[in-house]
Amino acid sequence: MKRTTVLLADDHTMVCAGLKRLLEPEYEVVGCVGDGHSLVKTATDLRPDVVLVDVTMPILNGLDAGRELKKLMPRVKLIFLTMNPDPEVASEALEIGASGYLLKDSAEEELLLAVRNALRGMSYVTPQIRHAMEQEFIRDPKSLNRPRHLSDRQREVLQLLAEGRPMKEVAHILAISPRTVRFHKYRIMDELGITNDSELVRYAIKHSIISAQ
Amino acid sequence: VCLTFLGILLCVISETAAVAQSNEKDEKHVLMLFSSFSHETAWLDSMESPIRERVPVPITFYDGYIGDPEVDADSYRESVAETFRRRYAGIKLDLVITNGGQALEFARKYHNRIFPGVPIVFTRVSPRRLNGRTWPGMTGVAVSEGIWETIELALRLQPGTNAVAVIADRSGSDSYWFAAAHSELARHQEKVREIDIVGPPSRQMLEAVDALPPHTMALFLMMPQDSNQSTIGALDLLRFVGQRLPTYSIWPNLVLNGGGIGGLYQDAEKEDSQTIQIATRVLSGEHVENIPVVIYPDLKVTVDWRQLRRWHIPESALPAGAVILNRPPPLWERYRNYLIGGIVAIVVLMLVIIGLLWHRARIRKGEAALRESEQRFKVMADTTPALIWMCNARGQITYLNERWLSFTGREPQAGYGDSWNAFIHPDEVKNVQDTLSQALRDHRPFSNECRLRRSDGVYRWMLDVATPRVNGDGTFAGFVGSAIDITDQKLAQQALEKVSAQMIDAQEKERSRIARDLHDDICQRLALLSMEIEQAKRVSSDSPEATKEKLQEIRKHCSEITGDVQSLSHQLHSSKLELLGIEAAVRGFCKEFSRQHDVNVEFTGRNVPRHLPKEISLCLFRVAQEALQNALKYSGVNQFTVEILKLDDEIHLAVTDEGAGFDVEVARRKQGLGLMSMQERVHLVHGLLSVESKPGEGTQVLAVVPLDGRHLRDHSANETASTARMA
Repeated sequence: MKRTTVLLADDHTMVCAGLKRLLEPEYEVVGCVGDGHSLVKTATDLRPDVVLVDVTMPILNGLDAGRELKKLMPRVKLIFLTMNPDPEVASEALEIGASGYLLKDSAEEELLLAVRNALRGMSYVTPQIRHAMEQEFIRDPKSLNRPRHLSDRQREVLQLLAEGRPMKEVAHILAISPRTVRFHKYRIMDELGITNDSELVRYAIKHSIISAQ
Repeated sequence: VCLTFLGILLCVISETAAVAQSNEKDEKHVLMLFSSFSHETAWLDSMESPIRERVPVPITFYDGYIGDPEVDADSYRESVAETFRRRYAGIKLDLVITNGGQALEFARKYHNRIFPGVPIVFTRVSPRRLNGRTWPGMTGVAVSEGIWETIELALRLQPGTNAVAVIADRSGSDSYWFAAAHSELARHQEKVREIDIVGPPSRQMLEAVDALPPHTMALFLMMPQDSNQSTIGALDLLRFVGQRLPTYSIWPNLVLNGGGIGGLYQDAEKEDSQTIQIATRVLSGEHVENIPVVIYPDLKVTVDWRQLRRWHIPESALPAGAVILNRPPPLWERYRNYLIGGIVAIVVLMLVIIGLLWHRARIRKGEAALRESEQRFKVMADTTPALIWMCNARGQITYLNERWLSFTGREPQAGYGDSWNAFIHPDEVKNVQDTLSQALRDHRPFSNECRLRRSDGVYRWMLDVATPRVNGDGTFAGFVGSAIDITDQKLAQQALEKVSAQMIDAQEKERSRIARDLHDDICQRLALLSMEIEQAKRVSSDSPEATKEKLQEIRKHCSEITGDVQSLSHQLHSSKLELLGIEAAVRGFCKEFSRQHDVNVEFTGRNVPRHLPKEISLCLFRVAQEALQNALKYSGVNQFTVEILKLDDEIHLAVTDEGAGFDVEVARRKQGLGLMSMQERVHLVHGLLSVESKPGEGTQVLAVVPLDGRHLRDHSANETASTARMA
């Protein structure tokens, strides 16, 4: 039976050497590249089963290289091995199709576990980060069903706009730049879930910001 | 041969000698006969010298005045003849020349008695008198008296005439002319009537003339008589007739000055030269019978131009060769010198005028070019953004452009005077004057910086650069200089210096913080770790369990240190920005910030592309960091909003708080590093940063960055209001 092939991507050669030592008994390490660009090129040449990749790499970072690689070789298993504990980076990695996300200071067993899981089609995220990721997904209760709230300035802008004044005039009255007015308008509409000017006017009337007359 | 030649030579010599001898012997004697002495003296002179010239022997001329045979009695003539006979008896005459009909008659009659055998040459005789006759031993010249011809001419010139008044004196020789006229007129009696008015001149004749009918012309045949001293002379009569009638005469010279038209007369010169010729031939020995009588019909028409005009006679009616006297010379003849002088003067004047016009045109062209050039200079000088000035060689201002005047607010009428000194900052007046006077000595370009008072009283820094001017002849004319406002540059330079200093200061602070973190924290903990490892080495011999526990602890500490270093590194530079894009990075930062400072940062992100140019995402990230730090520091509240969104081709980042707010003007003047660095960063990516704040009403920092590379320009309506333009 053909041995599972692994390609390493890390700009630190000592890390590469250590990983090779760790994996050799079980897998065939086909190479070690130092940047994202070489990774994409070498991987498409060697067609490894598993790619172990660091996030932080010169020329092309691990995330972008991995994304590219997944497009070219959708079946390759990507496992990120990094010093970056950011759960958002981890979620991004999983989003592009990574099978694992480990920290370099994780235990050796975790790496082997992650590779095995990946080959079986399962993903593995190191527990240190998994916790933080779960935290990410718990929504801030304040942000849900938050009452629609306009600042004083936004109300001023809304009133002037609802009165039918062009943005330039509004800017002149409030002594601010037209760009700022545009920003306010966009934010007001975004905040209120409104998509056009007539709805804006309707809202302003409804909430007595301007009179119906 | 020699003898023959000698012989011929001798012959010639002897012959010449013989001729000379015979000449001395053969002296010629010529008698000149004439009848009216007073009139013939000129004739005598005109004949004698030409004959002497032509004949190679001496000639003695004798004057023979015979009196007036027409008047005097035959007895008188007899006595004259007898006198002559006696006088010339002893003289051997060679030739007798007679003048006039009477002299001819006299010579013919007494020929044989006075000078028998002497040849006679006659002249001044009418062919009519000869009547075709010739006489032996006589020859001569006959010329018509012109009566017939004069009548013919008169009738031709006066075609309307029906009467001819013949005015003559029947006494003396004039009776001859009267008779001649009468017979000639008889030939025209069908055409004209003859009226005879016969003198001597008298009052009755005048009355007769006055009573003549119209269409009458006068034929004046009266010779003035010297002896006849009556009250009315022939010439008086002539003038009287000439005033009333067209008057002709056979003596044109007589009537021409007396009011007559003219007539035909003999050409005396021709007649005389012919006479001289014949006389010479006779004296030279030619036989008189061999010389034929010469008859001249040639008469010359002579008229008075004034009378032709008076009687309306066209010149074309005159026969060819007519002599017209008293014709005023043509204008050209009369005023030739004046005309030439005038023309020369006109030509000279014309040349002078043309020259002047040409010169003027050149000057005008030059002036136009100069005006154009001046206009161009003025337009250029007035539209250029610089203040332009000129001074003369003594340093006095001679020109200031409009911008100069409007800059300083000086009245254009005020003159230039000491323009600079009045507006230069007192601290720099001396320096400027020293520089100028040095430059005036050296004639070298110079430049200096000084403060100049603007019309609003504000002193502005100016950079003034001047170059020497030269006149057309290369002499030094002064300076032309231009000054530009470099206040903004100066301020920017000062600000930059200040910012640089602050930047360096901030950098140093940051470095010392990192150093402190590394030394005080990481180093201490690593030292502690080292001690723990040492400890573990010692306990390892005790029990493997304890060793394992110790190693586990060391590993945990390592992990902690890694985490802290990671965090420190993250603070210095977020890898998230590069990996996940601006929105995630800012969101992450907000979260971290909330946790770190126990505040609430509400984050909103809309439509922001993940991949933005690195410098834009870094700029926005730093602005978000700085603005939140500022908000935390100054707002006094713990609720902040961070919004990032894409509007059209721009990324908008707003950091808002509803806290204390501040006076933007004051903040701007203080040029705090936070605002300044944000502004600089945004400016570098061509964006705009605006800070909207009022005391007590919160603050909004808005950074707008274009994605399409164009420079954003603010259209802020009112700069002096609470919103300040920061970019």
